[in-house]
Amino acid sequence: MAIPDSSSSTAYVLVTEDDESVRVALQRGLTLHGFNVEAVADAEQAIQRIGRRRPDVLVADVGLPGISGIDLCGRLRALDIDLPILILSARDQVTDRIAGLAAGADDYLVKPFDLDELSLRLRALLRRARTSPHGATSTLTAGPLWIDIDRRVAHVDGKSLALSRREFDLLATLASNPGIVLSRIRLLEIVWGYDFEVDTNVVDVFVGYLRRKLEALEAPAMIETVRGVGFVLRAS
Amino acid sequence: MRLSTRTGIAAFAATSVALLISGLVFQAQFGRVLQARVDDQLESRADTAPILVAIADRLERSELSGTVEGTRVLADGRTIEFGLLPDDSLPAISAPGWETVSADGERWRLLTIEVLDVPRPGDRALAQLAAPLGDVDSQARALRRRAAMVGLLVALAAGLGGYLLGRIATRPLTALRNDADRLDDADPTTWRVARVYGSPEIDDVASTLNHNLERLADETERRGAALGAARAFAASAAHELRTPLQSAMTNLDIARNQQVDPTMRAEVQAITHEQLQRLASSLAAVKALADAEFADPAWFEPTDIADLVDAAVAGEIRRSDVTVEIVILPTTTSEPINLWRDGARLAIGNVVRNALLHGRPLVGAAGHVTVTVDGRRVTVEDNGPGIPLADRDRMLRRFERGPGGGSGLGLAIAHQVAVAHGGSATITSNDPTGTRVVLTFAHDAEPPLITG
Repeated sequence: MAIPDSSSSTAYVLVTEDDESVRVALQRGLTLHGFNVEAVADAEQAIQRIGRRRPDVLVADVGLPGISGIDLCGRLRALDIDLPILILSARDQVTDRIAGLAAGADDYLVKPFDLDELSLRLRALLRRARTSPHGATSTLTAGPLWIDIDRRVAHVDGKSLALSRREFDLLATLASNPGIVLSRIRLLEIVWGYDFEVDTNVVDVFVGYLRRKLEALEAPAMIETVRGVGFVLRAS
Repeated sequence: MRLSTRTGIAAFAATSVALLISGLVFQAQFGRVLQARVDDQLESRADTAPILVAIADRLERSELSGTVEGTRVLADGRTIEFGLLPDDSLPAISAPGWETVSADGERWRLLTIEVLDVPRPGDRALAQLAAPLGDVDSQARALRRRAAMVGLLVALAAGLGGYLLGRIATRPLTALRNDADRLDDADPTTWRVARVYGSPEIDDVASTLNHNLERLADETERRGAALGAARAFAASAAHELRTPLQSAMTNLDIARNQQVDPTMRAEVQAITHEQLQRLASSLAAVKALADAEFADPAWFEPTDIADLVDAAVAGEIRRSDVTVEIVILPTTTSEPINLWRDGARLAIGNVVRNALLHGRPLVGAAGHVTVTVDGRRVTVEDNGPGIPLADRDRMLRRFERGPGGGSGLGLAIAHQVAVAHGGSATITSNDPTGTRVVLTFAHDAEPPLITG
């Protein structure tokens, strides 16, 4: 059982879940874990709440009636609302979860999950949202890649690279350690703040997104998979 | 080997054999004719035999060798030779008659004649007249060579002709082959060969091929649909089972928390129990729906439908204060009909339960449900608020819940079971108020492999 820590005791979590029993249970459970929780049943209510008061983190079920959890992510990102989002999925289909991440979510959990696991991930996402995972250097150059950490912009050969928050953090982490192989666990720790054991393939999914976006700008293949270890960015 | 190559080789071989046999027969006949001519000449010389015997001992061979035909005379135990004869020695003269011998590398024809009373009465001598067969044999050889050469040319021409005719004859087959080759790149579900190739046998093959392709396409489509249905089903089922499990897990997590007061702990434990029950009934419903979706013909057995309805209603009515009336119409024979008994009972039970739970009048009158059995049709009517027209079809789909809640599977199972019987479930409104659900267990036919 996680002990509520004072740093996130005031963190405001918005839960969007259509199943009443799950919604009530999450509201109670997360409240006991020290979060300030509000829970709504559909995406429209969620958008209204967010409009009134911006939550620190959003938990959204994929299978919401009307506007789905994935569409909700897409709409918030389109409105430039950059809060951390964690997607809950009750479906086995990988495509659902991947679609959530592609729409701008930061991570996903498949039902049924442990309340402690959800709580730990939310806390980690909140920590990362407040601090930058990178050092003091404000700009980085690696081969054709140029990154401005403070302004959160990245360019390849002068062409602008449109990245989600998590994609940017992942690319900046890899670029600030050129030639150094970073394990999945280390990347989860640095980029997602998961300093606990976690069962997720979110790193692989986001590396896939980065590669596709770099390829779309005709950049050379820079992010290599080191089998059995992790990933490395090669600047040459 | 190509069919046209085969017909070419066959024509070549058949022509060669025919020419060889006729050539051999012809050559034998020709040889006999030429030899008969030599024999005639020898016989015409037979008259000269007594003269030759008479003068034989006075003749020097060398003198006459240029002018006299080859002859040997055996008289007084001595053989006198003169005229044109082979250098090799001929066999000794023995008896009158015809002989053919080989000497000097060619064949000789010999006619031996007995000459009596020459030159003196009582004398006996044998005269042998010889003629070479060399010319005859060389003419026969020349004929054979020419015949063989002509024969070979004719056989080759026949082979080529056979090949070309074979090409023309197998053109429809080649066209079919070319069409069939395209199958590799084409979509097998829509691709077909032509129907007409200009040869009844080939058209039959094409028709058989197309028929099999159609069967393959049907099978592929059926399998694809079954696989799609199974995947959608598994996804929906997982969704349906994960949600109550999530609720139960989270509530248990809450109950474990030290800070929770006893009232809340009792409440979340009750919710957990309720969610586990929900999970259990969802599991049972999902299993029933899977059974209905992939119903096995072996499950169908002769059943008295009136008894089945009675049992299904009895199973539901215990939990309700609503009155239920069962009407068996005269169209319902006591003859058993072929039904999937467990499925049909579950379907009828689900519809009745739905009527009992959601079909009560909102105010005033007491709830009343009528179940009518009309042959293969079971109608369940209630006097409740009814289901809006727009929602009726939706209520038959799986995981679609009405305002009263539930698993969202009861009516979907009833519908699927009816479909497995080749029938259907329909929702209409009851007069003056309420819902009427009609289940039709259509016929005894085997259930379709893919349903819904």
